[in-house]
Amino acid sequence: MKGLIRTTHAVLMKDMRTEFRSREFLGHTFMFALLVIVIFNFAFKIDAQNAPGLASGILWISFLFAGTLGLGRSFLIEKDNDCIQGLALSPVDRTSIFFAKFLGNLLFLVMIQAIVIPMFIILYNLNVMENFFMQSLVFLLGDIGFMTLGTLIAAMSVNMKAREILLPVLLLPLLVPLLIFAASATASLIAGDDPSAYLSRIKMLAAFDLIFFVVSSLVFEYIMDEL
Amino acid sequence: MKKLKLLEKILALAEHRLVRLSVTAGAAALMLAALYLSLVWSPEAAGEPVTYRIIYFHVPTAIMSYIGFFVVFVASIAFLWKGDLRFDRIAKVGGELGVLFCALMLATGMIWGKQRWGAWWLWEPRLTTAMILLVIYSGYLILRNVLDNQVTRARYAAVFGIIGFVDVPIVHLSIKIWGNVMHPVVIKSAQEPGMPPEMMLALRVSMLAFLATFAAVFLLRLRLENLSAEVARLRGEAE
Repeated sequence: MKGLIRTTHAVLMKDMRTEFRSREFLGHTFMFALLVIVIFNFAFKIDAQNAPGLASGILWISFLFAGTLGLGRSFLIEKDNDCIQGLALSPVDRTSIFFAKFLGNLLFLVMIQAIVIPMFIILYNLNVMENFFMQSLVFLLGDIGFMTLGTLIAAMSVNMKAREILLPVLLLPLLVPLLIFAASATASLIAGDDPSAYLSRIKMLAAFDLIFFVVSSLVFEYIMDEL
Repeated sequence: MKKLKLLEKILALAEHRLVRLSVTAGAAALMLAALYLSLVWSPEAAGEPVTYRIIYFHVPTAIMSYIGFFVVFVASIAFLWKGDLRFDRIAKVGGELGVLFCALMLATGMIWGKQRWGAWWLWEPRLTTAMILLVIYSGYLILRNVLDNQVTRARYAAVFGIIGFVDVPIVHLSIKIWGNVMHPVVIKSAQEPGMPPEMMLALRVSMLAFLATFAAVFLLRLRLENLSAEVARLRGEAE
């Protein structure tokens, strides 16, 4: 257990250091997520009347798109200089590599959200974080489920031809339940519904996360062997 | 160990030519009987357009697609457990048949829906679940297509096959929350069939016919896969 935490920490720190030294990708993805939000305004002509109804969908779509971009990169950077071989050869538990990549991707998405959500609130003059604690919980649970399956599929996509298109094609259908639970919970929190409306969704999100986190960490070693 | 030997025997039996032939012949005969029973013999349904008869094909295709996806799931687990590429080939064939029958289920459902509901498509839980299933397992087949290395392909496909199947009930649950139910449920239980006995008989025969067709195509396709794997192996040896 202690070894697992140590190696997870080591791999995570390595990734963070690489990212913060170049500081490129986070900025680019943030610009992309912001653009998605702005583009939606032109597509839907958002005003004070329709904003509350559309907000949840717009936010989750921009998270899904930006997150998928980040996922695609998380294993690709290892491929560049054959780092993946070093990682695969190191005598550590394969699960810790999964945990580290998962945590890295999760952190990446949370950082994007930490900038995009305030921008959204300013641009559309709609406070989506009215119920701050519950809304943050929904975002976090949604992110965890997204990044669990995302990390797994991203690891697979590294070896594929046309991986840029295949990652979303394989991942998004699997995420349909997550999107439904998360977007409807966010929507009912924005609308200020009764807790009974969103609590059940939050429970289901948590169940989704738990199921796929267990299954993904069990099967990841089979993917790691082939990287 | 004993169970494994039994499995070996079943796999060897499936390879047998006579088994393939008789299953194919049986499927053809049953399909003819099912066509007669469902299109000619079974009575008109009160208050339903004549397209109601599509139920005799729609329901069996739906069940065959679920069987196909279940085969993917079980064979995927077996492959990851045993590492035998034969299971991978079984999973592949199961996936192909699942996708085929899922597409047929959607097509027959849409033809019926156009007559009954006046629309080809409704964003209704069962329909939407079926569509998501089709997309997930089409992804499974695409995944198999883009990987060249045999072992890598088998492993990734197995992982995806397991994840996809675990997702199915969650997809269904989530979409039930999200949409309005429109899809009729005809057969609620064995005690309460919801249709006259003649129709039930036609449906049962049709079900058997589709099951036999599934088995026949499965065996033929699996045979083809096994043969091409053998060719690849021999070619590798020759080089």
